[in-house]
Amino acid sequence: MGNDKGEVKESKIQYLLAEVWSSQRVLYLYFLLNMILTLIVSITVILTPRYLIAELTGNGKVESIILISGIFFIVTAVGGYILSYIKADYELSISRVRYIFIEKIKEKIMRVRYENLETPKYLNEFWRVTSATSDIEFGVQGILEKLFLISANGIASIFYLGILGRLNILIVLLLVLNIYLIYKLRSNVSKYEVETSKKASRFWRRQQYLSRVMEDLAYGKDIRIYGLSNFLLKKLVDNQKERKVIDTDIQKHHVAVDFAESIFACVRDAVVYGYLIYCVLNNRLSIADFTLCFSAVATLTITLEHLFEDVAFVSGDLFRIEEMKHFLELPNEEEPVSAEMKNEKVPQADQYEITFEHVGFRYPGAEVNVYTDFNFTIKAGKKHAIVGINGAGKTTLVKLVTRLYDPTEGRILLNGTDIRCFDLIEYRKLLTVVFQDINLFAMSLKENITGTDGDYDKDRFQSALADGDLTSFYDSYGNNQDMQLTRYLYDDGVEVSGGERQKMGIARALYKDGDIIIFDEPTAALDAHAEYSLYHKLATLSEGKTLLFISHRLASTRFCDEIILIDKGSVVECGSHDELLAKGGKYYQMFTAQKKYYD
Amino acid sequence: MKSLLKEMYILKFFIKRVWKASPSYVMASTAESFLGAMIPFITILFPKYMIDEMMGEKRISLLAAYVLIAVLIGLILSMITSGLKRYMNVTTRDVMIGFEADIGSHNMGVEYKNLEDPKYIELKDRAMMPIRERATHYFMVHYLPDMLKYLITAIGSLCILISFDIISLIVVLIPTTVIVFLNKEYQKKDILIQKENSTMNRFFMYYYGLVEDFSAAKDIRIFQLHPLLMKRNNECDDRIFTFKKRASVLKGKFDGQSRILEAFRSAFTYGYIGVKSILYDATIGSFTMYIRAASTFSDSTAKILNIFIQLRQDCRYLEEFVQLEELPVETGIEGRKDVDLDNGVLEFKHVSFCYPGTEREVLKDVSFKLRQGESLSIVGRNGAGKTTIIKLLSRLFQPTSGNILINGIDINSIDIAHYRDLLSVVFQDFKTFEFSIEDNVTSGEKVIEKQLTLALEKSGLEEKVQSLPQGINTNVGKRFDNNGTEFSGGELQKLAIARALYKNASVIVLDEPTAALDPYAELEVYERFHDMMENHTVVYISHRLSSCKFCQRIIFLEDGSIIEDGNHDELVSLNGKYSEMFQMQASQYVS
Repeated sequence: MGNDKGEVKESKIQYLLAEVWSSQRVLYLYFLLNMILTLIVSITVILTPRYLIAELTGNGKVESIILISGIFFIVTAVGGYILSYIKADYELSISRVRYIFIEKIKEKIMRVRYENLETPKYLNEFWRVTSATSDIEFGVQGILEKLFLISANGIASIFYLGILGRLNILIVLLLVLNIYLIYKLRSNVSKYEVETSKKASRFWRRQQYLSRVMEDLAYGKDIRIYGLSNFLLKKLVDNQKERKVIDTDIQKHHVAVDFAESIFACVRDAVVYGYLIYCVLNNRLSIADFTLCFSAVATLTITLEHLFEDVAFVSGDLFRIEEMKHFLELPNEEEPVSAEMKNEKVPQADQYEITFEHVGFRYPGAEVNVYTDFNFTIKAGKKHAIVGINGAGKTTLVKLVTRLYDPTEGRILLNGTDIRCFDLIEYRKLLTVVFQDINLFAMSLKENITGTDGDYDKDRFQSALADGDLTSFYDSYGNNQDMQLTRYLYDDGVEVSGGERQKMGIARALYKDGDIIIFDEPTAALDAHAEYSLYHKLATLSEGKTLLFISHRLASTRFCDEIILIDKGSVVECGSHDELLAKGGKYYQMFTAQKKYYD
Repeated sequence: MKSLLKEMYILKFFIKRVWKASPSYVMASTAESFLGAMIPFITILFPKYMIDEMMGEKRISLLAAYVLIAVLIGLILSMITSGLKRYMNVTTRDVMIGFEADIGSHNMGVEYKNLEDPKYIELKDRAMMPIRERATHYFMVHYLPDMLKYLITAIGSLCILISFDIISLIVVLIPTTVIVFLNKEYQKKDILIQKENSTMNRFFMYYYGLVEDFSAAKDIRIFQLHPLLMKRNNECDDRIFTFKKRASVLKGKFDGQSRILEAFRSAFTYGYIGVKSILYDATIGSFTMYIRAASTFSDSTAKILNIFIQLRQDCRYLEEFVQLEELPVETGIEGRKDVDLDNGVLEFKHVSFCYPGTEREVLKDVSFKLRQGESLSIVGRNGAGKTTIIKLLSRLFQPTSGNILINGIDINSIDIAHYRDLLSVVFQDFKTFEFSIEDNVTSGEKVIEKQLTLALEKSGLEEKVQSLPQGINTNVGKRFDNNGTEFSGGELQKLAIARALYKNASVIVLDEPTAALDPYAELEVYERFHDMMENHTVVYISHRLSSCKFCQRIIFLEDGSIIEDGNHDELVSLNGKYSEMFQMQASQYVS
């Protein structure tokens, strides 16, 4: 345990304590009070029998017995009452701290760079971040509560050590040496446990996955149709069998230390009691003090054990804080990419043109580029359709334009300026995007469409609904903009169908009214009528604006000025619908394929 | 009294589950309780003899013997209990997994209609809260052996105390009894607070879901939704804390009062035993022993009481969980198993349907027959009732009126597992699993090589499988296996189709199977259709009307009723809704 590790560990606790200081300062007061009062009560509890016995072996006065008992009562009653009050309140405060961290994590998830959320590493490791706050036994709450226990036990231990030290310093040394040795052995096993737990983590994740799948209502249909119940249960059981092997191994290591501990304790006790008896027989110790030291040794052992266990626990649990801290310190996506690229103002123009200049892109951790030396221009005020077979990189294009990702090579320009130089939020104001999967939130219709619960543009809201073909839907619910969407929170909320959901996604995008419109496979769930009217609407709505329309339904691209066919990360064909048909190339082939059954 | 009986029932429920999951855990923990209960007596009994000897004869050999025996007994007991505790650590997980298996098995077995019923969903969320949020069941499993241990210790120390006199016993017991009554009052008030705030849990779970689920992440960024969402979340947290504060203040008061009573008990014990020892000239050794016994007795009874309180509280938290788990499962309902499903005529007879808890009729008097080997296409606008027909056919729901028959027999009378052998369904929102390709396709059934290869061929997945180094053993998705491979939307659809084909059911239902596919893949599905579907009865739902041309029969649904029924040419010549829709789609392709 070199200095280096000590420093890192401290910064994690400091990190926690800094938050405590800023939001729940009263915990410091409670901490002190808890320590002091526990000490006072512990002193009273251990000294009372000693004085009683002294009285019994001495004067034997009944009044003194009653007096001693009375003092005992007052101290432990008052001290105990205050301690209970403090405990209830500090537990609440600590819980508050945990919630504050949960809030921070939630906010960070919403604001961190998007690439952090899609990498396999993150998907697999993210449980470590939330493990800091998902439990009351571990992480933030567990550690803070243990700190209280540690301080109280620590100070009581010092007192007990003092009692024994007055008799003979060697006793103290023996006890402390004993406990220290055991602690070292323990921490070695803990290290081993952490190492091995890494191996066990995949069993843990698999069990979580299986439990979730069995419980998730979305899987219910398939599980029943395909009779998957026994299959999933068997996987759960087999998974546990594999995990048990690792668990047993870890516990075996622990048991070895347990045995060492018992043997040390046996030897220590024999020595200590032997010594105490020797002192009594040689009149160096009264019987009253004998019982005091005897109690002190017993109490001290338990207290020190708890103390070391708790310290080891905190030490071992800090990794969760580390993970959480690391996550919370990730830059938000609006942070500038580098010192050179920032502080450009988003140009105010009537129309916008986006240029891909030698763009290369690879997802983090992927082995193959999605784009290599990709060049093309989205012309101002024109409608573009991007087509290509699935996996060709169409959605990635959207992610690059919206700066959910940045190119790994080359750059993307808006009216000539690298988009990384703009303030991210200002840049995104230009964009209106409808993704493939629409997410609706447990809020009102108005809030889902406008994204705010405050001031909003009423006219734009109404026309967004109309243009998104939601008028009849809106009518059927009494034109109530405060109607709740989804049934997550309110029973009288409305669960919308797939088609209505897509329309709402469109309405939301229309309300935003950006100058660059991007539609990514928006009509997959729409029926023929809705699809048809949407294409027509899009054509009118995007008049004068720059439109990027991604679809594999080739018929929908006919209202676009330019069609771009992407294959294997590059543009292979480019032109209007008629031009491309005339070419007789890939586009022509795809079109014929879709048309086939309509003839 | 009634509530105590209910709690005992719940406790018995859990004990049964624990025993079923791991009898060794129960045995180990019982043994540990017995042995661990004895440890405190070493420091109660031995000091008495040591002190009396030191104040009396002062024989060194005897004193040495006392010390040796005490430490050796301590050694043996602690080693055995350590071993048992470590063993319990391992087997506790067996118990927890046992619980997970029971929960999962129940979830997968209840009637499907519950899964779309908001009332059931709410019950489930409330019921699972103590399990998922607080691991109440985990603690319960540990409380019981602890309680046994303290019980034994209490009885032992009680016996020692009684040898002093009965009054000391009463002195200890009276404050304890008062605490019990105080606790009852506390529980009542605490429950009220919990009830008032149960809706908050639902909100909390939703916002907590935002943490775990990244799918909304794109929308949140593009539309800058985080200020609003965080505002809502923080409001929810604040409300939760108002309730927590009330519960906490109540608890603090109760705990404080208990401690005063406990202080009184100890003080009185000291006073009483002390005074009586003076008056009756008891030995110092005995005094120490009785004081120790009294304190051990009050400690253990306090602990027993706390555990008892906690257990009762936990039982109450878990009441809804037990309620949930005792809902009947589908497979428990009796049904016929003798029906031949392979050569049948399926018939919807005047079927009407409303989703449970709603009044809107999604299907109105729908009647049609489906013969073995026929291919049927169901078309119509979104919300017309197409998927609902499939859910009724799969017996995920029952018709509100009318019957569904197979060869004249009402399908409700057939054993549900047997009936479901009839169908393979690929739903619009189908789910596959992050297991191997083989596992996904065979659904865990016995692997028949020929059938597997055929399913992969017919669904078009064979090429992909052959391109993978681990072939059919490759994991779908990289979550559990770095050598796994991500499947695109289209590939997942092929996987779902392969699964449906492998089952070799006589009726195959495809619900919007090409919605996510690109033109080539879509064409592939169409081209393979006949191959895929030979010897099967097929029901095909799509709003891509191009697919209707290769079905023998088409049903057009509007607002829950069948308004047109025939084959493609017939319906086109009708010049009705189908014709209109078809023209509309086709016109996009034809100049």
